[in-house]
Order: sequence, then structure tokens, then C-alpha cells
Amino acid sequence: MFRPPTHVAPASYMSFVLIWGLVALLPTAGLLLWSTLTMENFQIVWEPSLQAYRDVLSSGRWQVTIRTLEIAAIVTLIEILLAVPFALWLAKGTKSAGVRTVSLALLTIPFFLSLSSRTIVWRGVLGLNGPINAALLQLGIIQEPLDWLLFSQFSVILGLIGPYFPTMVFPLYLAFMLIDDEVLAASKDLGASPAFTFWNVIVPLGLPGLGAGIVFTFVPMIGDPVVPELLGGGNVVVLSASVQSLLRILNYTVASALSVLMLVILVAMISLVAAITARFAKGGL
Amino acid sequence: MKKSSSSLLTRRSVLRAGAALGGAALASPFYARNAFAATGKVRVLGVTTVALPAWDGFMADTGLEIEFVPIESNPGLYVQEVIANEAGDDFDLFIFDGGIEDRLGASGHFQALDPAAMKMWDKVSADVKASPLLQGPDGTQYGAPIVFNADSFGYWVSDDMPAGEDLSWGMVFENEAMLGKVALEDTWLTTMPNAALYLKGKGAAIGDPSNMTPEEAKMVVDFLIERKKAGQFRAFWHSYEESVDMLGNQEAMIEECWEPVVKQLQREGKDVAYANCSEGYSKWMIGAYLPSQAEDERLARAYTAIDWFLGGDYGAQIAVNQGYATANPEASLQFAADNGWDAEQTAAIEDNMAKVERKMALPDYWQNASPDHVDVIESEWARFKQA
Repeated sequence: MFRPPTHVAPASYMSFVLIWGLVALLPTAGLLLWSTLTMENFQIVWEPSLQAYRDVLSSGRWQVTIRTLEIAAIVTLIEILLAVPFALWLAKGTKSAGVRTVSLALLTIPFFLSLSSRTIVWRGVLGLNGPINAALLQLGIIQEPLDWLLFSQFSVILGLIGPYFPTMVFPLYLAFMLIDDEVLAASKDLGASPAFTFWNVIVPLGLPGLGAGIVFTFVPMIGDPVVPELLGGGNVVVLSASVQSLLRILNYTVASALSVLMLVILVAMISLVAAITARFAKGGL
Repeated sequence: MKKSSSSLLTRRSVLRAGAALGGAALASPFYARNAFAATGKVRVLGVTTVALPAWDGFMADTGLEIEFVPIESNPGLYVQEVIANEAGDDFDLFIFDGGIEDRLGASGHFQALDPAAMKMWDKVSADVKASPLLQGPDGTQYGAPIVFNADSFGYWVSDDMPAGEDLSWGMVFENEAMLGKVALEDTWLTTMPNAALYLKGKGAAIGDPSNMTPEEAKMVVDFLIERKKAGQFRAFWHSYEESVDMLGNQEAMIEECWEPVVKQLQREGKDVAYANCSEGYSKWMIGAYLPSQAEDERLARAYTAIDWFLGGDYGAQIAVNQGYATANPEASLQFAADNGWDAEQTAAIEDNMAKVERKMALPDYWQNASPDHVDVIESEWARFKQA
């Protein structure tokens, strides 16, 4: 995927590698090291051990990584379904610069408010005594308030859709903008249906944007503590909460082991996605 | 401090009275200035619950300036500050949630208190001074009691659950009539010992709910998981504001919570009560501890500060502002009388005295942020949350 840095001066290339090694690789190596030690009385015991990994398994903490990935994957998929048509319309559907500017601004403005204050609003809406339950009861659709609307995986997923929509839209929008209008016109002139053009021209050319969108949406969501905490009501335990609980008792080794487990799964997943994308891009073009 | 919503012990940092000044205190360390009277400055690292909106009384009484630097209520953070950052070099006095002195005392980071160095020490009730949250396992007195209380649960008053009567913790943990209507605090620190208290009351073999063995912890969590599967619990709260909302909006009808939650809802006219418990309470204590580095002049100033915290001015302010108990309620009453406080304020202090006599004297249990098997207990809690 990356072009070798032939046009970059070796000095700046090397300094980048050095900085990356210091700020990214070194802490990761530390994480690996810590996960193979144990702690006693708040002190690290410098003897190799797999106890931390055994603890991750015995406490059921490994399920936290699975659940976190599951939620992030579902939300990312929903974002793709919502963001692709929107970004396509924004890039190609509307010719008005004003509409574009306003749309992009509207996507940005919610970020002026903190995530907590945007999220907490859902609590009132989805609660047992909130307007949705009240309306459903009034209409006779339900006899008892729905308790799964709030403090459930459903509410966490719903709450995550809004905050992570723009991170999917922006890269897609940029990628679609780069597609030359003449390419689309040529496809049409050659008799391709809109669906055919979409799958065989727009999707392959937009893949870099989709890849970036997935990375910017999926990865930060995995570490997001705010929405799951506020809307999960402690019923939906995600990675960040589990790690935080460990850090509060200074259990660094198990926290490291849990993080390493997530890192391994993530690297495996991203490699898989990269491989598929590369293959698809090659075949598609 | 974005973490107002994090789970463990955030009570001290988010409480109503503490919250307002906490914000100000966090923005910059609070410097009390009295250039004329000051002959020195005492530097305190403390949780925000114990901070006052203004320290005029402190300066007038002791002739010292006070620099109060707030710290989030989080045992992991204290240990880090004290051990790794050697905060004892910079601070004359620590005011933290009790429980941590067992380890920081044994490791030589805290020094033992000398009772003779404080004028007010003899006036503090023996029950309170002997709290395991102030003493090491061998009985060494490391801490002086600053602020404390006995926690239970709040509930909407009904025929089944009238106000004022003694209720069992079973109302929270094993209540078929309230399936899906109970909220718990999202921390092992209170919820596991409270469940243990209930099981112990039913005859289970549990020694100290606040210092459980791995087997006891497993038994408690097995029970909690069974109740979770039965659908007993609606949600788990992480911050003071959340707990106010959940009980106030009737998202939960019964909620393990802090006393100011119920006080706030009652002020809003809601018919809620704070339970008197038949099995006992979750008692907590914030203590003042001396760093081992404090010597000579610094040590003398630290003792002067502790003495003032044990006195009437401080106790009266805490009772009225937060409804929490302090070491010397008699002196608080005296202070209120001397300064012409009104009947309502005096009543708040008297309420506290009765509460302390009724609740603090019960044997079980003192909240312990650092039980011997804390790793196992936290891990069992994770198992419950996963289930």
C-alpha cells in the first residue's frame, strides 16, 4: 500500500522512523514486557510469568475485547451504509458550493459540544419514563415500558452512530471528490447503469477513502469510554472501562495483557482488511 | 477532571458542596493569603470533599497559610503520588480516603501520629479513632479522622418500604418485587461488601466483608451473578450526578447510593428516603496522614493543621454544607452556638451526632480500598460485570 520513500530525503525519513520508534514502538514493547510480569504489593516482580494472561482468561475479561470489537464493527458498518450515499451526494450529487459548505459545517458544529453532553441527552429520550416509551404506551403498542431502550447494547450502538458519522463521511467525501466527472460520464456514455458505475467505478476509486474512514471510525471507537459508560449503564462493559478498573488498583500487568490481546486482534484484523482491499483494488481495476 | 464519571470513590470529588469549590480548586491550587498573620505555610494534598470554600477560619486560628492542592479520589493515584512522585517532599499533610495506610505505613511512606502533639486528640471518640482505616494492622495510629459517614441505599417510600424503619440489604440484592428496579454503584469497593453484609446476615460464612478472602469473594460474586441473571439490577452508576438522575427519574426505585443523593432529591420534593439497615453500613473515612519526610517545622505545622481539622469550626461547616460527620461534634455545636448559627444549622450538626452514635458504632464494616486480596476481588467483580 505504501510507496517506498524514494523521493524523501534519507535524513527526514530516518528521523520519522526514530520518532515513531520512540513514541509508538517503545511503549508497545513496554506493554508487552509488563504483560509478562506480575505485581505484588503495588510493586513489579521482575520474573517472567503468564499469570496476567491467565487472569484475563479466568475473569472472563477476554470477552470484553470481543464485545468491544463487536460493537465497534456494527457501528462502523452502519456508518458505511449511511455515509457512502451522503458523501456521494455531497461530492457529486450537489453542484452548489454553498450546500457543500453548509453541510460540512453542520457535520462539524456538534463537535463544539463535549461528547458527554451530547450523549447524556439520549438518557432522557430512551429512559423508562422517556418520550419514546410514553408514546408507545399511549398508542397501546406496548403494555410495559421497554427496558432495553436504555442501558443496553442497543443504546450504546445508537449513541455511537452520531459522534462517529463525520469521521466516516470526510475521507469518503474527499475520495469521491477526486473522481473525475469525465470518468463517470464515460461510464454512462458506454451504457453502464448507475448501479454498474457505482460498483465498478466509484467503489474501486473510493476505496482509499473507505479504508481511511474505517480506520478513523473503528479504531478510536474501541478506546471510547464515554458513550458506553453513559448509555450502557454498566451493563455493557467495554475495553476502556475494564482497563480503567485495573489501573485503579494499580494492576498494570493484567491491564497490559488485556491491551496486548486487543493489539494482536487489531493487527490481525487490519492486516486482513489491507490484504482484501489490495486484492479487490487490483482485481477491480 | 473529566473523570467525574469514573467509578471508584469519586464521591469525594463530586459531592455537592465539594463540586463547586472543586472546580475552582482544580483550576489552580487554592492559596489562602494572610500576609500579616502568617508565620508559615502548610501544604496539603487532599481529596476535594474535605476542602472548604474559604479558609479564613483556619488562618485566623492557626496563624498559618494553607495551600490545598486537590487530588482525585483514587487509591491508585495516591500510591503513585506518594511512592513514585515522592509527594511527601512537597506536602506536609495528606488527606486521603482511608485504607491505604496499611501499605503506605508498612512501606515507611507514612509516619505514625503522636497523640501528644495534638490538643484535640483526646476529645475524639475512641470508636472513630480505632477505625481500621486510620490504623495499620498492628494498631499503629497513622491517621486522624477528618470526614466520615455510613452509607446505605436510597428508595422511593411505599407501604412495603416506609421511611425510618430498619430495612435489610435484601431489599437491594434479593427482592422479587423489584426485579429490574435496582441500581448499584459500579465498583467492587462498596457493592461487593454490601452484598457480603447481606449474605453474612443470612448466615453465610464471611469474616470481614471489607477484607474478603478469595473464596468469600467468589461466593459473593456467584450470588450476585445469580441475581443479575434473575434480572434484579437495572443499571450501575458511575458518578454522583448519574445516581441522582437514576433514582430521581424512577429509572430505579431502589439505589445503593450516597446520602447527599437522597438529601438533594428530598429538597426537590421527592418522596425518597435513605435506608436504616438492619445488617450494617458501608462506613467510610477520610483521614489525615503524615508523610515520613515531614520533620521539625514542617511536622509542627502539619500537627497544627490536623488539630484545627479536629476542631469545631471545620466540623460545623462540613455538617451543614455536606451532612457528613466529623471527629468532634461537641466542638462543632459549641462553635455554632458561639457564632450564633440558626436552629436549622444547629439541627444538622445534632442529626449527625445521632447518626454517628447509631451507625458508626456497628461492627460491620469500614470501606477498604486496599484489601489484602484486592487483585482477586477486582477480578471477581469483572466476572460479575461480564456475566
